[in-house]
Amino acid sequence: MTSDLLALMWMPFLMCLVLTGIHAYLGFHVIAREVVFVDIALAQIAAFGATAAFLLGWDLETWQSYAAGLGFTILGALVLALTRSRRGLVSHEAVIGVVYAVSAAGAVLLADRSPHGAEHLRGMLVGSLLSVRGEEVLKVAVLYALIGIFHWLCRRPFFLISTDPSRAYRDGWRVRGWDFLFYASFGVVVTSSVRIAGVLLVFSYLIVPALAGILLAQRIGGRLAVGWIFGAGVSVVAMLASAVLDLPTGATVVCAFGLTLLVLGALLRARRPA
Amino acid sequence: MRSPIRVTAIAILALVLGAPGLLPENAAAADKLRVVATTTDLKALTEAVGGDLVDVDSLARGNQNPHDLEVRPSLMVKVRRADLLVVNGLELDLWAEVVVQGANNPKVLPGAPGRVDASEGLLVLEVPTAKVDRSMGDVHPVGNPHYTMDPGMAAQITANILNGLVRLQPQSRPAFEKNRAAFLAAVEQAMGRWAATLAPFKGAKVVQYHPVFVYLFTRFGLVKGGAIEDRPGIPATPGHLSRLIQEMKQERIKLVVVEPWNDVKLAERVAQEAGAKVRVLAAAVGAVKEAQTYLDTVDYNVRTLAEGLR
Repeated sequence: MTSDLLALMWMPFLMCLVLTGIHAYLGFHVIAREVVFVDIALAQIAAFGATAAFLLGWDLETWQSYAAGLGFTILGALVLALTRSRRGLVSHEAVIGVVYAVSAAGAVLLADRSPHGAEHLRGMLVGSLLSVRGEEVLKVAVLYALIGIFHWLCRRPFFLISTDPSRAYRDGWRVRGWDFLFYASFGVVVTSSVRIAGVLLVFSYLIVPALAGILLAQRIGGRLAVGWIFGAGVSVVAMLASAVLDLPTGATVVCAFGLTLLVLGALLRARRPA
Repeated sequence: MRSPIRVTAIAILALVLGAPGLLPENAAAADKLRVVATTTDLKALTEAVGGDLVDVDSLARGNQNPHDLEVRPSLMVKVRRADLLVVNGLELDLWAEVVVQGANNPKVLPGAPGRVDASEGLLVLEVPTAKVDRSMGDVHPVGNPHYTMDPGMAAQITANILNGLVRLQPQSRPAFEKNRAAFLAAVEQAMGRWAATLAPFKGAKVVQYHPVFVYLFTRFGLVKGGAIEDRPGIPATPGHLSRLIQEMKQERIKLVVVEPWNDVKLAERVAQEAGAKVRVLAAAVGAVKEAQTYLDTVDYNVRTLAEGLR
């Protein structure tokens, strides 16, 4: 029985590691830019795109579905980049919030027209980690590695704009252009992840490991390391919990992230001198 | 000159709102009984009994999961105008009660003459013996409600429908009975063919995604194995799936059957581990292309089962 369990969970676990790798890094940017909701909004837009394709008869496995998800996400990225106000007059979070709500409701409307509606929506929320195949893990790993390389090459403008946008403007960087590149590559990651892991998991992988990194380390190198170790560690624990406690995998991972963050926060609080 | 525009606008508005009331009732249509069935299976069976004397509509579409239907206003409109409502019962279509409430049609309230519970008098399988609560997901609290796909149930179901129709139009009893007899004769004839197709596989175990096909299996001598979605509506846990895979390997179960709206990818993953095949069965009339009538649907299921078990 354990061998069957192992055989079943091995690929989902590898997938979690791949997700940790890219998402923990991207999470730092998201938190630095203070647009935490952006990834859940883009993830939801990607899910909406996949749902639209679904309605037209294209299963999640097809390239058309991926193209639709990506197309919508790029559009969303464009909107988000264009609505970034220099003077911060309009809260970016407000725009993002509306985008999220509308794409979520839109997906419900679309899903209602399709026979698989409810199942599809649930899959988009908590993902379908258990049915992931080896070749999918490989494809996603390669894609994320390429995006990682892209971000490494563009690290100067990306980090500058994320951490000190006013200085970026002063230094003459074309902030809108770099923003678009950032959000577009971010969108590709989110589109790919959502189809497998669902909106909630993508959000968790993006935010929680990065938060842990910020709480436990000072410099970016240390923070990244902490984020990756944290992400991988929680994935292991969550997978084990799902197997041993007989819980649905996707939702367990999300809750594990939440719980571990809570514990971490409490421990740090307790350690701080009064 | 705003006045003429305003008058015109009001006139158009009045026309649009009042038009339905002005339309002359189609005399021929008024004679037909307006029947609404909750599922496409019941629609097909009602048409088989009612023939030309009824106008039947279905609330659920053939390719929809009947467990969780989003109730829309258009469904309420259909029920509002209905003379007869045919429900599946056994708590499969509880959502229909929401529609009935919204429709405000006293003819089809529970207990009214305009309501037929198609499950009356049926021998129900899988009645739970232990306490049942929400922690078990959508588990069927009064027994398995998916009886319509068993052709052996057609006789009792059509009898229930006939009684309902006769309550509303007693003078048409001979016509209804003639229709029913003809339909049941066709089913009887096909039964022989179906039984012969599945006879070689008597006793074979089949795994389902959701326990929809239990009645069909029992009718033709197949045995139900486990279900992938142990607690319907709640995603399968890895522990449950690995136990299922183990069972499939030990009992040499070679076939997994799913409904068109299930997570086929998960089913294929499980089948891959256990060395089995996955086949899509029609859970209702209209669920798959090849299954647009009742007889065609059972035919498709029997053929697919036989091919999958070969």
